[in-house]
Amino acid sequence: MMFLVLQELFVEVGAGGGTSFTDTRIHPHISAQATVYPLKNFGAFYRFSLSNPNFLIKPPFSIDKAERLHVLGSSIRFANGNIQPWIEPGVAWYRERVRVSLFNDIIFEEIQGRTAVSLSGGVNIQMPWRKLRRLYFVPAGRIVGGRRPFWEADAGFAWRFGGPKNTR
Amino acid sequence: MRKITLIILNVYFFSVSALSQNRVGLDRIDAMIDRSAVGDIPRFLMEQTAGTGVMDVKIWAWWGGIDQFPPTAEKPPEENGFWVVPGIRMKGWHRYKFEELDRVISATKIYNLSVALAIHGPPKWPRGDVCEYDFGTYHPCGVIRQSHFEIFPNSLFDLAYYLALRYPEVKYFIAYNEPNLPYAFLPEKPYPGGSLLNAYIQLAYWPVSDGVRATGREVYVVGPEITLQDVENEFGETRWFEDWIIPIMEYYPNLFDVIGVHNYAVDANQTLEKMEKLQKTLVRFPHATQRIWLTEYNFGTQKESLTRTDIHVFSQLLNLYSNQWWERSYLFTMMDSLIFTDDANFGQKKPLYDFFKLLVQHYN
Repeated sequence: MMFLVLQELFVEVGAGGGTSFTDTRIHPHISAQATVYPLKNFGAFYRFSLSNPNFLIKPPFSIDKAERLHVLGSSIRFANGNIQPWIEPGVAWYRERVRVSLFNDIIFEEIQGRTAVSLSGGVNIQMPWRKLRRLYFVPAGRIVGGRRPFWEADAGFAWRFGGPKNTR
Repeated sequence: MRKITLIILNVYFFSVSALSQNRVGLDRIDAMIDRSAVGDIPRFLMEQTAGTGVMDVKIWAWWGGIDQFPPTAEKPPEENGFWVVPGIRMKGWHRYKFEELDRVISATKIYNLSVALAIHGPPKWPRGDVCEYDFGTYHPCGVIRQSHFEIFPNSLFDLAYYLALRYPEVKYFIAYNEPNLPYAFLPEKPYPGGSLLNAYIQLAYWPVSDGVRATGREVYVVGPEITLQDVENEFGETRWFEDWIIPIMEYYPNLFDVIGVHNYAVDANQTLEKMEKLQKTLVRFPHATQRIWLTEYNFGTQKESLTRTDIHVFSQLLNLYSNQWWERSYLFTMMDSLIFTDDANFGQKKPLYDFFKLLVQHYN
């Protein structure tokens, strides 16, 4: 019974910038995340982000690159009021598809990727408006990888399902 | 009339080809030092090089391989593969071993490749040190003892002179290699001239420059060949921009005919960022040498396997050459990057070879 009362689900969409395993330039990405707290301050999350970095390539060549990052892990929050700082250790699966074309014909295409550890940190800040009491602003950052990690920083909005009606 | 027309056309095409700048070059450091079971390896290597469509190669004239012995007072007997010549700034007789380099240069001629000859990798005797030159670029074996601050430049002058004399088709000579790294250049302190840059100019640049020009023919000197990174170690610290580029622009604006630099990076963005910094500096110093070559570069890091793949390197090559404002970039090196070097597949083309060929075809 206690489990059901405290169960909360945060669904977040966001955008930000960062680097990647193969691109040191800061480039934008969009993201979506779901975090569930079956216990009061301990839960699990899944996150997905997508990026299509631009290349200034002279014709007749062109490059199309898509980076995808899936992260699965646990979420530990340090408070559950209107400001909820958290950290999220996890396992990331990075995948990128690079397609090189010459005169619009694909001449080289490859998908490569690997798994890595990930650590995110951020804070859920509840919106001040009463009608939007389930909406949170979520600035966050993360590093992914070991010997040469990459980083991401983003901001998003999360909607809380379940939990107390008003935490203010 | 036909003859006159032919002459005019010849002059026109010659001047057009002389003025045209090939943007893509290949570093063939391996050509002089590699030995293998495939037979005439220099010829094989140059055949592979020419196969990419590249017209410009950087060849290493390995000082330690050519000039293994100090000059002798008595003229030594002539031997096969050696060239016995009198010292110019050095006393006595040199016994230069040009056999390997001769084969390399002959091979470049067969395939009509234009050579930039890099003179570096000194033997122990002109340095006065016991540490062998480190091919792995890790051990700090670039030591030059104070007691050898005269012998070193004098022997380098003689070598440069005889190189320029022996290979009249070579116009570009690269003065030393990565003097901001201790494996290559580590003169004892106090530095002659007070800084590492001045020490390089006195001990390496002038001997090469004076030596090749002493032949009286048209030659160009490329330097300082620093790698674009700040170096901090137990021997001191030197910053590529503040301690090398800026003083060169201020105090030695026209010392080099071409400013040659190296850069190894994870991706092209890092290289382009540094080159942009260099470009902005050239704008500040419009009367300084404006010709720039990236004489060594490659992409990827051992720390991240995804940056060592063909697709990564090829996409970065396209990025680099698409945004290259400088004259030429020499990929380091063809072996390993474009050709397999392991025993099982030695000499076979990697998939990247054919992609590189396409790049040369469209971007050179």
